[in-house]
Amino acid sequence: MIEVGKLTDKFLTDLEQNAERAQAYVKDAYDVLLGPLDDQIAETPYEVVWQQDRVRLKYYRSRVSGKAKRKTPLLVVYALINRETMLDLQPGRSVVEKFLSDGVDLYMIDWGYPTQKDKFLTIDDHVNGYMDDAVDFIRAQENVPQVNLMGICMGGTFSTIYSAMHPEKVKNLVLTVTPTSFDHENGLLHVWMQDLDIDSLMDSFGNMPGDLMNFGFLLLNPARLMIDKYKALLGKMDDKSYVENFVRMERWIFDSPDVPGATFRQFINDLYKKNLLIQNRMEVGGQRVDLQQITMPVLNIYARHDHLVPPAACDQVTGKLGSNDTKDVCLETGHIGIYVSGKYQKEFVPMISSWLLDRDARGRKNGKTRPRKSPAANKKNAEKDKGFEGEMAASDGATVNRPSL
Amino acid sequence: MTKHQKQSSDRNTDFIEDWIHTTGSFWGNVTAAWTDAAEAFPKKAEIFRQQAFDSAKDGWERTFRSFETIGEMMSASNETGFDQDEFKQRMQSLDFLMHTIQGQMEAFQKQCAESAGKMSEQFEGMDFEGMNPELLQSWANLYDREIRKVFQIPQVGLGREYQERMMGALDKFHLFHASAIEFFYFLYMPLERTFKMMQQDLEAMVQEGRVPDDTESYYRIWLKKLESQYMDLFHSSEYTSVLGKALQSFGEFKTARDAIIEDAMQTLPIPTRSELDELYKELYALKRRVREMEKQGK
Repeated sequence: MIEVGKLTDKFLTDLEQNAERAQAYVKDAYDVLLGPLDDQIAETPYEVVWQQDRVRLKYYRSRVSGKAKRKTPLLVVYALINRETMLDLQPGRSVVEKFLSDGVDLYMIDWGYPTQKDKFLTIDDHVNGYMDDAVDFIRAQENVPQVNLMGICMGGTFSTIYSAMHPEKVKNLVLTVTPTSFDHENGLLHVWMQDLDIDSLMDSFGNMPGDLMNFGFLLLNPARLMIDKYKALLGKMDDKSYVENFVRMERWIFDSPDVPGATFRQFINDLYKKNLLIQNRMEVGGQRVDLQQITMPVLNIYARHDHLVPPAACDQVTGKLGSNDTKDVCLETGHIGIYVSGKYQKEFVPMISSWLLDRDARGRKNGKTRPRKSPAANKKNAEKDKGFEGEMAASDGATVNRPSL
Repeated sequence: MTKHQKQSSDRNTDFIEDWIHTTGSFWGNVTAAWTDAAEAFPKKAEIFRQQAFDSAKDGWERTFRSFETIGEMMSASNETGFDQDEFKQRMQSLDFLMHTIQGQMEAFQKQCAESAGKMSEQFEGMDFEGMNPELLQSWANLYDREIRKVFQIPQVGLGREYQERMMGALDKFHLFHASAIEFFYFLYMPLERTFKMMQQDLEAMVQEGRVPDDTESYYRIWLKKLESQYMDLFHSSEYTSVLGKALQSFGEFKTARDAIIEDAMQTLPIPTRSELDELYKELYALKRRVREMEKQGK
């Protein structure tokens, strides 16, 4: 028999307790939101050493000296979508900081904020124009014949194209969550791009609006990205650290520049729709991009739970290259988890640093193509590297002495 | 002038004279106030006061005489008498005109009724319980077949190009509006379905006696279902088609809207987007040439 009186008492007691808790929570949240919040990003000091139009080259100097210092500087090329500030979210959770502490002098391209003036810029202008000029600057500045090149997402695609067209200037190539193969339906972006009349859209808008892209990315998973995320914030507004991290991420994720129209048009038509790059049929600046020309060592890192650039978009490229020193690493995280997750930052950056240091010590006979490893061998490497077993687990940033080849 | 008209005229005369006297008194009071203020200049102030009063009186008398003249003219026409034949002729002409206009109106009404009939055929037999894609598609077809023609009527006159662009922009706006509604409806569908599914699941859970204790569990179940619904939707060909159509219509509307804004801006000393685009293109081409020459020089 239902005891209405007891139920009512319980309900009223719960209500009273919850009301007290809610009141205390609201007070704490109020204090947090109206108090000083450390929500700035990209605070690691850098110097702008080169600029051309809207594109700037940022230089981060490593304080490490001696054997741990890498001889060859690293140029990081971020995507045209969102900003490279993601790599330097906050002290203690910064990819840039970790590279610097590993003795890697870092150069980073800041693509800036394109305006209507930039809508005619093509992939050729970005790769053989801005990137090539930046690389030449670094080579002259550092007095080195080659640079290490690391590309992120669309920046990785650009880095792949650049390495194929200027292999003599690239010592080692690192690709992270880089889409190079588009002939699949694993990612929603791949599915949606098929019905998009990109030419008409770019004729209307000039550049691809950053806000429109942001909306599109939110639509990839509206339940999580538009509802659950903010519901979680509402429950933790009394946690200052949580709120600061949240606001930093929001600051970065909605800082979305427009993408120059001609570049976006070619990227969608030639890559998403026709998948020309992986077939060695893509033309940039009137020249065919031949992946066989990529003969330098390549480290290819991608994420298993990446809904923007699924593994199927990343794991084909190493089998098409002219290099015999390639490695695929699949991490158990998402598209940006590699860079923003504290856990993966601790493992991912030292892995790259030690891989670069290892090859820093080696020489390479330029222009000579060695026999390629079979795709099966590359896949075996990927399986081996899953979960950071083998060589990757041993990565701790220490100097490795290996005989030069 | 008849007796009635004379009485009326007398009454009007009395009224007007009263009016003149009232107005004169008013102005008299005003000038008296001026007189008080102008005690230091009594003679001139007196002259001014008299002149103001005379002026007001003259003005009203002239006005009254005008009314009187109009009245005499009207009375004169009445004196000549009512010509029935002329009136009848005039009424017949008017009647003919009215019949002509009525005929045209009836033809126009008939055409409108036919169009409305075609429109109603679209909606016969449809289920109007809530919005559905069929309704949106029917509206799109209806607009395309019946309403859009209005915006495509050729324009004439000096400003015909501007008018055409304006009508084109209106047309594109309606198309964009329709496709946006369809797109947002697609985005709404998973929410509706999820709520229905939750209702059914809750009923089942209550029957089985496994009702969760806390609201967080309900939320998690709901969120998971919603996520799943969205994933199914986003992978469907219907969604990609609607998305593509919405984006394309958005772009076309923006182009049409920008065109009419440029037309308006031509009257202002402000460079338009097209003019700047031409400059940007030239600048881009020049920069490429310089870069190539620099590289060749190296």
